[in-house]
Amino acid sequence: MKIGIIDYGMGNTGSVTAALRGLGAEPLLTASENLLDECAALILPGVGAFSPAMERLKQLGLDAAIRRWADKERKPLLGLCLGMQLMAGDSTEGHACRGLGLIEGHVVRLAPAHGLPVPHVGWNEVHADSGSDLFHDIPPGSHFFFDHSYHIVLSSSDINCATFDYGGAWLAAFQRGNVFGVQFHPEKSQHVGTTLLKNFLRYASAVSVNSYEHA
Amino acid sequence: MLKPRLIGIVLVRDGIAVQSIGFNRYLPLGQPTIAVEYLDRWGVDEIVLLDIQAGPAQRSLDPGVVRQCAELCRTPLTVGGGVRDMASASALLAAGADKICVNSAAHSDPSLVGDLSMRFGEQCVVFSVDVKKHSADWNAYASGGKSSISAALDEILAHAQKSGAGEILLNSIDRDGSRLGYDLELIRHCAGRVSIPLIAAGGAGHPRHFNEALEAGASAVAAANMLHYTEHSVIVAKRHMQTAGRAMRIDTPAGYPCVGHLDSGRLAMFDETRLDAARFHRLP
Repeated sequence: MKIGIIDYGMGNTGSVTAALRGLGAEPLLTASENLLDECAALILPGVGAFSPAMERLKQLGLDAAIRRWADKERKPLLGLCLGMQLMAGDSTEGHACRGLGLIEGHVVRLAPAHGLPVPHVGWNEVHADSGSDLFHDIPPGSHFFFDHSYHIVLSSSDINCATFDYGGAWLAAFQRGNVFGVQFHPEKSQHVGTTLLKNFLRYASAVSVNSYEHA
Repeated sequence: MLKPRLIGIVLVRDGIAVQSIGFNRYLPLGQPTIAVEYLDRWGVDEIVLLDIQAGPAQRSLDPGVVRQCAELCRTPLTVGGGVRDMASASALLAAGADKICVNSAAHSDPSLVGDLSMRFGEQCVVFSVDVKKHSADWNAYASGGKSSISAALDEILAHAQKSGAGEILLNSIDRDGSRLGYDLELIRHCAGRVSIPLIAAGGAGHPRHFNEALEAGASAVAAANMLHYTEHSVIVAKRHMQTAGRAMRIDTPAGYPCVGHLDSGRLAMFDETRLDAARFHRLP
């Protein structure tokens, strides 16, 4: 199964492709929207700052392509860390900037209680809703690797599917139909992260089988 | 709850992983990829891969080595050595680094940290500083401990944080490879001066040293030599820390939940009665 990884010069793309290859998927690193049609699912990775990342996506014409993929074609999309944050409406990181607007929410700087250090770096417990597609076979409270200074505040908690605790409870993962986002780095969370990516691949392959049957 | 990190450092010299003592003596360990693979399997919380020759030699760590390490490593990988501009950082990230560690070049080019963090986010930039004690004060050094930096340590830390570094990797040159424990006074001094996470490095020789550094104010503890020589070193050390009351992430299949430790910090054997019960019994 071909999985597109958006290459906009910002992500830790080497880590993401290695993790997917390890799962037997065929990662396709691409900055061209023409190649997206070949893919069963798309991953938007992210190590970077919000506004330069959005600018890069726009320059490459990928912002519209991702919106079309997610909202019109309703194909599986997973955002990792900054990739997740880019799906929100806007961010206050750097120069205030609009995001992809795939979900309703704002990206703001973490302000944990008790003067805890920011960025929030390290392995934290994630508490997911039972029955969530991404967290299948992952015990509640499993540790994932986080590394971020900003986070998403959702306008409505309907799509929240996991939280983490760091001087307050914050959004760790969401699912809005075919669009998923995780604040942590599953590609760097050892076997627990591998299980999460496997769950996303399984979701993607189930969806692509269904769409063939309907067609 | 966020767990404190135990970070494994892999130092590379001439393409070989080495043990470093006092920043001037080196013993070969083997291939960096193998050191990284073991640390990954033993559940280390992060890996820092540093080419200690790259900076002085005006080059950066070979992206091919990073690629090989990243291919088998599902642990966050920070890479450093010779990072001096956007291009060298980009090449390492593309090869599989998750974070970039800067040292010497950040001292000679004060805008480097700011540029990198604008582009890649502050969480991606680890500012490494090598420190040596001088009478009552500390001095920072560049080029692998060879050239003294005139700016005061406090100024360097303040500048790093202000320009957008996400973490400080604090190395004690005096304690490097000594196994005497971290320079706790140095950790206390620096932890009180930054609000970003501080990683303590240099001197770990016993698992209790990790808890001491965390109590002194470090957010994370790093070790190289101590983790490379014994099997499951990471798990054994984390179990020791946990037994001493520090909640750690132990996710590996072998977690040594009901095993004691010797004074040396290594695993103790089960007691005689338990071994006896586990002995092979011949059926009559």
